[in-house]
Amino acid sequence: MITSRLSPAVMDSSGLPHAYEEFAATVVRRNSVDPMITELVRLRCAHYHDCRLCGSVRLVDAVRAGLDEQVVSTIDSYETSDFDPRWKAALRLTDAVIVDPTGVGPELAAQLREHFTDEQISELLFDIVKWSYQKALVSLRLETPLVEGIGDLVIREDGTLVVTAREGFVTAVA
Amino acid sequence: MPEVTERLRKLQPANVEELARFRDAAWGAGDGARLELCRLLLAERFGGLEALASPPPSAAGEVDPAKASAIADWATSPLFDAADRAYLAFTEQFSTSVAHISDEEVNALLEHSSEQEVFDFAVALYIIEMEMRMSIVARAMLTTTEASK
Repeated sequence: MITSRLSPAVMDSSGLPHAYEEFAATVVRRNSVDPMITELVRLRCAHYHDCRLCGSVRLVDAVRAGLDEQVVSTIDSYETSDFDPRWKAALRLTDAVIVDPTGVGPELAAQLREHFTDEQISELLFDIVKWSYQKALVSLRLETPLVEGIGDLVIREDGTLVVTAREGFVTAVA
Repeated sequence: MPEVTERLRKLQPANVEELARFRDAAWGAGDGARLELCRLLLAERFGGLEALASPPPSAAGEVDPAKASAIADWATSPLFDAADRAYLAFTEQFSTSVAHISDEEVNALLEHSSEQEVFDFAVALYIIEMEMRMSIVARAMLTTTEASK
């Protein structure tokens, strides 16, 4: 069982989570990329960084667009999957940032430009940064899931993120 | 990397502005010299002088030039004390594989800092490291002119 390495109270007494939430709310309000791509990127970050909190929720807009648990379980082996080339390009960009940024080259740039504009690529880059906030929490094992099992993640118009469990438990999360 | 920063600012002005606010808050909440030491280690890991082309933020503390020059050898160099080593070890693991940071590595930080200081450090490290990663990739992925699609 994973236990927190610090008291979770440190998150309430620090001003930084609020500063982060302001940044995050701005990033998630951008929507030139479809929700399925956003969710694949978010879950790839969650899996790679071993974030229990992020891995325990699904973006509702992506579920409506067709995301299911078969897709979720395939994300980490996307290279050998039958994922849409657009999905693969977004996941390769994600890996470029979170795994090996110095290893990127013109091949990936060419792939991305087949599917995305610069505006979309830059939006994805900020998505990857935003969703990787988990690194701070995971390093201290403060990323406790908010719900039992799988919860629903909703992005409100103001950029607030809300996790909802089937029992009706609701809380705002960063 | 001022060119890529300007390109990102043109493409995502609100995001860049909010990122700057968050970054300033993160630097302001921590020990500037310690953060700068860890930023230097990350820059070294991500390509040395090239990554260091970005100037440190105004809140960055001054790092002994001898330490800065020896940053790649922090684990063995006598220039670094126990607190430096604890923070640099955490930084290195944070960047290499955050999921494998150990209880011992966090406890080593707590020998020198409060829980609040450790938490604020981890958040600051997150934004420093991820911005560095994003900038390196953005420079390789984005065109230098307006998108044509």
